[in-house]
Formats: sequence, C-alpha cells, structure tokens
Amino acid sequence: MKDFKKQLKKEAETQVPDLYGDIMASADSSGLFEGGYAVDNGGGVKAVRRIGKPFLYSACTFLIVCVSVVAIVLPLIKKNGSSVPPVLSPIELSADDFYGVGALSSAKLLSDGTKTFKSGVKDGADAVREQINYFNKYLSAFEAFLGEGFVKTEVSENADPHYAQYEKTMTVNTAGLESYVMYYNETLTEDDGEEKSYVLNGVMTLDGREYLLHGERTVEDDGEEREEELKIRAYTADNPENFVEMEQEISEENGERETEYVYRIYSDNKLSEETSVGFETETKNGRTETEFELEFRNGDGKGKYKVEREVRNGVAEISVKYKLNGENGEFEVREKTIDGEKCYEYIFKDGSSLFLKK
Amino acid sequence: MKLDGFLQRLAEGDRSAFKPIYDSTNKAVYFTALSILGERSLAEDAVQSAYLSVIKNAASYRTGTNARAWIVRVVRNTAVNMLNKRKREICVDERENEALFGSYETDGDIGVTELARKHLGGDEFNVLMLSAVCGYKRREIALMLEMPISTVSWKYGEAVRKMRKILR
Repeated sequence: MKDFKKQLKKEAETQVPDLYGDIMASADSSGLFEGGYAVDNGGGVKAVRRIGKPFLYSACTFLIVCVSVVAIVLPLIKKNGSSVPPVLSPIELSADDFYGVGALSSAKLLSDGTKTFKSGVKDGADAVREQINYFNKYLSAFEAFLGEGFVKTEVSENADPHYAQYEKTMTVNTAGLESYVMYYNETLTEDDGEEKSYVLNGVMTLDGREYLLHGERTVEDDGEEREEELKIRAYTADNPENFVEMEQEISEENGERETEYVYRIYSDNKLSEETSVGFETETKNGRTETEFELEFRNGDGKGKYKVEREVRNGVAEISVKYKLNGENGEFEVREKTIDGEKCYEYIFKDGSSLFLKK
Repeated sequence: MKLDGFLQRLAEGDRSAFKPIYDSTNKAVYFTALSILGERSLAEDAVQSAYLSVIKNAASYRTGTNARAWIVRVVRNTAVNMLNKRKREICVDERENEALFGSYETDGDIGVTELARKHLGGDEFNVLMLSAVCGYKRREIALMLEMPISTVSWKYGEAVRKMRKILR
C-alpha cells in the first residue's frame, strides 16, 4: 500500500513503450520532414504499426533495470553517550531542513566544478582510481550531513542590507558544525487546497563565492498522506551554462519518511552527470543508523558505492565497497588535515594511497 | 530550450527537435491515449498518429499557449476519433470487443498501473497518471484535459481514495 504513486512511477519506466523510432520512420516515409506527407483514408497521417509486442521489450528492460539498480547502504553507527547531542532523524526534520540540504548540497557540488568523470575500458581496480575524484565530490558534498546532529535549519527575517532584496535567511547548521546562510524569497504561486506550489529565489555564499539558487516546491497534503517535491537549480551569475539541478522527493505515510535526491550536472547546458542519493536516519535502541545510497548513473561513470562510516573516539572511519565495470572492490577513507587544509586520504587494498581535498 | 522553442524548430523542418519533445511528453501522451482507448496496442497506434500530427501541425501551435497541453489535446482528439471510428466500424458484441467494454487483457502479473486502469474511470486514471507519474500540477492538467481545476482536484482525490481502498 505504501506509496502506490511511487510504484506507478516505477512501472511507467518500463510500461510506456518507446515509439520514437517508429514515429520517425513513419514521419520519414510520409515525407513529413521534406515538406510533404502521406495521408490515410481518414485524412490523418498514416502510422506504421509497431512490429512485435512492446510489452516483451518492456519486460526485458524492466529486468535489466531491476538487476542494475542495487541499493547501496551506508550505516552510520554511533553510540549515544550522555555527552553526545541528540541525533535528529529525517522524520524530525522540517521542510525547511530539506530545503537547506537541497540548496547547500547543490551549491557544494557546483563549487566542486561541473567537469565529469570519463573512464575508458579498464578493470575495476584501475577505473576506481580514475573515479575517485568523482566519488570525492559527492562524499565532500554529503559528508556535512552525515555526522551527528545531521542538519538543522533556522529561518529568520533578513537583516543583512547587502542582500536587501531577499526577505528571509535560512541558516543551515550541518553535522560538521559548519553554518551556511541562504538569503531567499519564497512565493506561493498556487494553492488549490490540497496542493500548494512555491517558487524560491535565493543566494548562498560558499568559500567567498556566490551561488544563485532557483527552486520550486510542491506540497500535496490530503490529510492522510503528504508528499513534497523540491527542485533546485544552483548556478553562478558569470557562468549560467554550467549548473547543478537537484530534484528531491519526500514521501511520508504512517510516520515513515523516504527521501531521494537526484542531482544532474550540466556543462555548457548539456547533461554530463546524473547521480541519485538517498539517505534515511533512524534511532533504534540507542544507536543511530543512517542509510546512505549513492548511484552514479551517467554513461561512462556508472558505479555503485556502499560506504560504512563509523565514529570511534571522535574519529570518523569510512570504509567503501564498490562495484564498477562489473568488478567488486573496496577501499578506506580517512579524514586528514594537511598544511591546514582538510582532505580525505583514500587507501587502496594494494597499500597505495591518494590525498584529495574535501 | 523550452518546448515552445523545439516546436518552432520542428515547424521549420528540424527533425532533431522532435526528440526532446517526445522525451518530455511521451508518458503523458501514452497514458492519455490509454485512458481513452483502454488497450495498449490501440494506445500505441494513437500515440504514433498523434505525434505525426504534432510534426505535421507544429506550425499551427501558438507559442506561449502551453505546448504540453497542446500536445496532450492532440492525442486526446486522436484517441477519441479512433474510438468513435471503431465503434462505427466494428460489430458491437462485447464478447468480441473487450476494449470497448472494459474487459482488458490479462497478462498474469497485474501491477498497480493495471489495477488503476481497471478500477478507475478514464478521466480519473488520466488525472492520476498525469499527476503521479508525469508530475504535472493541477493547473497544467486542467489545461491539458480542458477541465476546471476543481474537477481535476476532485477526480484526483477520487482516484487516490479508490486506489487506497483497492490496495488495502
């Protein structure tokens, strides 16, 4: 029962037939792109009947998709000591918190650049070294949300004259105890009782650089079930052709909440990278577990990573298992500070290591 | 580029402009056809005919009047014409014409979509799929289906309530 709309969406991916080729063939044979076209007896344009059962094709596609989409789980296990601040689970987070996560992660990804990973045909061990920069970008963008405290936002009236055009500020306090401020306006554009739509325009500064944010949020609440959708685009004023788009969907039913983020990175207005990130945090028997799923969907950079992060004596230990180009492997990640700069050390099974800036 | 721009390029004979139009509308077009015709193979024929009409008549689209809604209206008209034509041409025997009488083909594995198609009215199914699957807002669906927004909201609410009842 839970979330039949999500199920409808999933089924549509395989049930809607791809008729593009047939339509183009019909259009070409009818001369539609040459200024003329054939008509059938009824006066309409004649369609070429699709050969074979599209359903069989769809079923095969569905099978392939099912096999390839494997959930990657990152359990973050942390003991709840008396000195540790209470851990927030997503179920406790407000819509503003998700706004904050979306805006901040999009801006962080953009700040890491829109260049995408390209891998040749290599085995998993070599390919993963090439993909490390790509992985590092997402780990850096999301690490802030994955520690204790997760994320919390505070919304207030904007008092900063430098950004006087924005009415509100949202301070995003991340798990890493860093704070980021977004200045923004939110406008209600549609309200038909059960469905409300808002448009967001704002700006966020990261490392001294301004990132513009444009978003849309739809909230659907029929009293029994609540759904929210959030889309945010992060870009810079001087280079709007390179941008990050984030689509976030939250569904909540009977106290269970699921969140998925899909990031699409565009270079020169062309889609270069698509990654889905999903995480869920809950506290059970005094232990906090965060599930983290990361799937790189784009062409050459497809890869699946399962990251386990455990905090021991205040130090985060991250172990990563991956599947790339059909091969499985693993590596470790440690947080380091070198010459005052925070970075990750990637330690591979053969003993080699690599330092990358956060 | 927005859909309007692609339709304009299509009207100028740029065949590459059709792909983004197809990709961004094919689900809405297919489920609209399916909601009217009730049978997959017929819906596919309607989708093909409708898109060919879109290619043929792209120049008649008035920029700024909601391209998605225009394309969905094209497929609705195509599907309704097909349905009427079939009603006139084929013998009216419900045992021989399942598509007309709601006795859909069974393929063993009935998913939620199939359940929705079987148990919801045509408009309810269409509104549900346009909203839940294609992500359109009530206002956009109202334009596509030429219904008042309140009617769209009502049909959506009915569809969700029926589906919940069925799935319980």
